[in-house]
Amino acid sequence: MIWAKRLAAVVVAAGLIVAAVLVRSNVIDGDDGGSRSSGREATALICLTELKALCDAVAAAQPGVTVRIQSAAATAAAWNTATEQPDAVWLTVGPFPELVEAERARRRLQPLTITSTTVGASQLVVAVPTGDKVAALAAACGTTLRWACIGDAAGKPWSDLDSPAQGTVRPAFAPLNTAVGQLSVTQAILGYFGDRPIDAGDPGFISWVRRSARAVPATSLSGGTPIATIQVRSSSLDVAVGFDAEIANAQRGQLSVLYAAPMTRVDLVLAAPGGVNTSGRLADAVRTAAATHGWGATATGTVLTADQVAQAAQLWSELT
Amino acid sequence: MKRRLATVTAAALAVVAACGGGDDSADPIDGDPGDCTVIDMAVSSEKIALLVDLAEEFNGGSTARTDDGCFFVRPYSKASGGAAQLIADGWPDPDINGARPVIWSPAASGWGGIANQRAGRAVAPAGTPFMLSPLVIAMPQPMAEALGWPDEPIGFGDIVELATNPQGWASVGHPEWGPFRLGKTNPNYSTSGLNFTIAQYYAATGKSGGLTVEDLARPDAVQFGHDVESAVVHYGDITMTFLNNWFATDVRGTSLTYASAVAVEEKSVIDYNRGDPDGVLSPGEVPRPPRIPLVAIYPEEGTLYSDSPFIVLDAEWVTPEQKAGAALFETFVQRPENQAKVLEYGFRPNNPNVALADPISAEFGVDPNQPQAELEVPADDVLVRILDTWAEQRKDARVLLVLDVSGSMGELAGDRATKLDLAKEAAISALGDFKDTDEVGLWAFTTDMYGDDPNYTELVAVAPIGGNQRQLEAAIDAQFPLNGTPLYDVAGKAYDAMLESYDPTKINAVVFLTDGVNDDGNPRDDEQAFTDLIGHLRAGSEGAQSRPVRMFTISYGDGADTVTLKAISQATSAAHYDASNPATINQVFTAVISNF
Repeated sequence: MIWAKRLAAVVVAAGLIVAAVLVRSNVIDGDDGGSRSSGREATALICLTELKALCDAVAAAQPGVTVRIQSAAATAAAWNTATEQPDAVWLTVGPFPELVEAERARRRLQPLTITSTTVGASQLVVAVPTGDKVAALAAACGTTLRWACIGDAAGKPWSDLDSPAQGTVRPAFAPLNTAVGQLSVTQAILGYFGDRPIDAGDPGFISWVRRSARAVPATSLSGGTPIATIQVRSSSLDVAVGFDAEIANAQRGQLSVLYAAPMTRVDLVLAAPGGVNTSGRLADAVRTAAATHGWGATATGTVLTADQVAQAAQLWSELT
Repeated sequence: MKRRLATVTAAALAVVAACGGGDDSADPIDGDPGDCTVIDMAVSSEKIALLVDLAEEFNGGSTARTDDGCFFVRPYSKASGGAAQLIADGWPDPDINGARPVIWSPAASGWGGIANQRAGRAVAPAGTPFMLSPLVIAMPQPMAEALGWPDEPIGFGDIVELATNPQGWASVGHPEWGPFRLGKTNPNYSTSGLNFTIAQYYAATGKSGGLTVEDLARPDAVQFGHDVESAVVHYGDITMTFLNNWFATDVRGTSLTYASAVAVEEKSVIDYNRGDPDGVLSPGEVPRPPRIPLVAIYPEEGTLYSDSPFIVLDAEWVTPEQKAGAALFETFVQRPENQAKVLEYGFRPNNPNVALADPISAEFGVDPNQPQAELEVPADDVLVRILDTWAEQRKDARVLLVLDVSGSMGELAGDRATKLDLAKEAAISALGDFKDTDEVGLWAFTTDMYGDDPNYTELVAVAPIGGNQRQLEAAIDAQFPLNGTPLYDVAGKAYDAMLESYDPTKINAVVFLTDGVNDDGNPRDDEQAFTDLIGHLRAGSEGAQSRPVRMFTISYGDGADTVTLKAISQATSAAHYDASNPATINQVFTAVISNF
């Protein structure tokens, strides 16, 4: 029976090796930085609009890769209903690949078996022009800002916050078709309720959402997102919500960066549908570009889940 | 007989020239596209030099090439309002209006909404802004200082109060500057004119956002609008007309009595103080800083931005291939190194990686820390209503049309049509651009005419056009080519006639069209006659208590004495228009009438 045990051990060992190879190829790649499966190598990269500058750098470094810039909503809409496996890799942020898979499951469609590889991280922040408004906001709404307080102040004169600044308090969120917009409103809604469960029928909450959403018209966001806009046109808004990575080094002295509860980390991911490989060269190019565009390896805070983002974005959309 | 807005703006301003520079032109870019796919780009006039610069670099570089071929971007200047209407109308007559654009970059995003509203569909999808310039009120520095600049905030309300004060500048201790004179472009064509008109309504209603159609009809808002318009020097389609005139009067030391304030984009203040008032250096032109610099007033109530959207049109003439090329050029324009170039040209980059620096600085009359507040861009239907309402509120005009009927006007200019035929047709069409209360008259001139004066005949006396349009049309239509061109004599007499009947509540002007050079049968006194004429016009147009009669001149055909006509318009701080191609005369007339 010894030979039988030996044979069984060999079979088990071989199985483990095969499993290990499969796991490695499907999940994370260490040395060459790419993802490996039995599929074809990606020659197209889809990028979030918020990541345009980063992706332009990738395109310059990888001339063989076609880079397409489009909103999170546009890619999600295409992938949510795709009847064939997409042949591109998506450079996005978590949990958007999970949102796609969840939506496909809801539609009873085959999963895309997306493999997400983290290639950088940032944090949701609140950027305010340096000056009177920073101190007034922190004094009124806490050093880690409370979202309920920010939304309640929206549209009111700065003098209500004991600030000498002129005009009204104008927080701005990115459009909901962007990833940063959906993550921002999720953080804000979770922050508003704190430990309480979300109550969509709470009249105070409904007013708070509407005040927050209407303080700055979307047409004023000439930079596309609040943080991109406040850096080049600070007169158009006062309180910009978005990724820390969006703040250019050239503007760091002009803006004060505050944090809001709950502290939230955002992971930059390369999402490859099953059957598509991300080459090591492409992954390395993305990592390099990410690092030089503010997406470092570390960031603190919790990661928002797909369920939280789906619920919050839906609520925000209905109420505004 | 209201202003026919649709017709007015349907006409492109193909060959508008305001004393040099800033004009719409067909094709300012050099080079042969070869086999590359051509991408025509209509851009607002203030950024044409920058876009030509960027396009030339793009066209020669690797970014313009793909595996499938190459692209050749060809920018040309087109007033934002004129382009908006042309796009809504399907861009007719490319030979006259310019090539059908693939890319459109008006000065501000609001024009895209207006084009879509008029077209009834989203032919101009929202574009990504690629540079910024806030609307400011440009003032000569001594005048701004008299109002408390830079220590005291100045708002639209202060400007309106001064503009409507019968004492004018005397109310702040400067009677030598005369009445407060406001320069503002026609909002149907120009973004700064549109933005200033929007700001007027905000100032009148005390709002900074949420302007409604109902707000526009409020009696106090209507009165406020009339008050502002009453201080206007004249209108026009581009701000460069004002800046060039200011610069020309600065040379003679009279800039303070030409205009007190002009609504322009911040970039124009920088250009002016650099010594390049229209932002386009002609060959051989050397920048000369002005004697009296301008400063930018950022209204304390807030202001609006020109955001230069990069719009790829969703029109039937745009191919997928061209869209792909347009996307490549957009990426090229957004590169940090090209955004730095944006800054060199006096615009604010829309890329946060390019920090604000010179020339956005006090040295050039502007403040990088301003504006502190913004006014909201109204909804599309409100914008369209503002334009309709403005046509009724604008300052009335008294205009004498002076038409050359010399023998050379009988030369053929097209299929069986003479130059005079085309001019008559255009002049009759332009009559529809006035409003009922405008006063319009008509002279025809040539040598050996019938009547009291051998050089001209008054065909229709200046009177409200609501009552005399038919008479004007018939009189224009009845003209035929005759003899010589007594240009100097009739220009002076037309000016004197309008000066004699000057009405301070209206824009007083002469529109003078000729295709020739002075030819009165006595060439020996031409030089002296010209010198006397310009001296006479200048003397009447300058000074605190002047009664300005603006002479808008049109060079018609390739034989016109453009130098003389430019000098005449410049002497009266008006504008000269070039219709050397007779086929463009319709568009030129439209541009001329935009001054009223």
